[in-house]
Amino acid sequence: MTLVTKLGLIPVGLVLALKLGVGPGGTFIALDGAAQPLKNAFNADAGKVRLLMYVSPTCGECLRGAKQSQKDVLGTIDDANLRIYIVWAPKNGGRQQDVGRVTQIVTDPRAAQYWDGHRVLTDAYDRMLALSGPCAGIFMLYGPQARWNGTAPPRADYLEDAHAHEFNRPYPQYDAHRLADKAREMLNTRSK
Amino acid sequence: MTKRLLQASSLLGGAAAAVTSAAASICCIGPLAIALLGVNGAILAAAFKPYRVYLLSGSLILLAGAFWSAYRPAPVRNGAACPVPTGRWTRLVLWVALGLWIGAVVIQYLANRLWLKGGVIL
Repeated sequence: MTLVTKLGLIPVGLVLALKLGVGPGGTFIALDGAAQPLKNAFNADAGKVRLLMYVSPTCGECLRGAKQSQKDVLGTIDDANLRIYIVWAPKNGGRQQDVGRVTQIVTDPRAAQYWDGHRVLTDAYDRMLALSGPCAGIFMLYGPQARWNGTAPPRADYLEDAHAHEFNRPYPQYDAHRLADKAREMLNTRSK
Repeated sequence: MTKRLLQASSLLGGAAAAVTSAAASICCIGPLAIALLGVNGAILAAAFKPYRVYLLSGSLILLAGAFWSAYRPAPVRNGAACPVPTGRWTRLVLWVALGLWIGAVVIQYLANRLWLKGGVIL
């Protein structure tokens, strides 16, 4: 095999890796053009504190944030009044086939995972939060009173951004411990 | 023995440069990074993100050292009839490593320009 042939195998290997890299599927719901399944779940959980992770399946910071949330937020708050929605967004080149394997990052039974293929939440949050940069990485807390009435999701009561520093976004940099404290505070306020 | 040591140090420098420069940029290339590194690898790569500048600088220094080591005029060793040159493969690895380093910098530059305009990456 000549040197040129060997070097030519490198891009072939990369393309194969992209094809084969699609992991085994976890459970997630592909949202429709109105994000109805998520909207229904969100409103059915009114009266509870809700954590919504708006993340991209191909963004390292988003995946890292989700993993930290599993460990430091969900792993430390054992309260059935906390609900979690993970919205995988088609950002940073993310595709539906990338979602399967990343759903295994958050294993908490209170969590439901969604793929926003129609960009309902993606466009709404990007516009609402004026997000610059290719990635999502927003971790939002909704209080018990929050309801989703219109087409766009409501504004979060509290949020942190995994890319705040990187893309100079005007939100607090994501910190799983601080987010956990905030979630506890909202849960305590709810129970009073 | 000395020849092997020389080759090993060049190779080590080249490989280290390649790995660090690739690691510095791979967290930016979306689906490919996930496919190549897996979920845990991508999460680990993201942890290195704040150190990207240091990784790239460090790998450039390593590369410079490796090139110097590979291309400097080899001294004649005792008992050898002529200077011991660095192997062809070592030099090839070094050039590949340099290509990776340049690729990492270019990807970084393009990523910043495209991303900050809200564009799509790779």
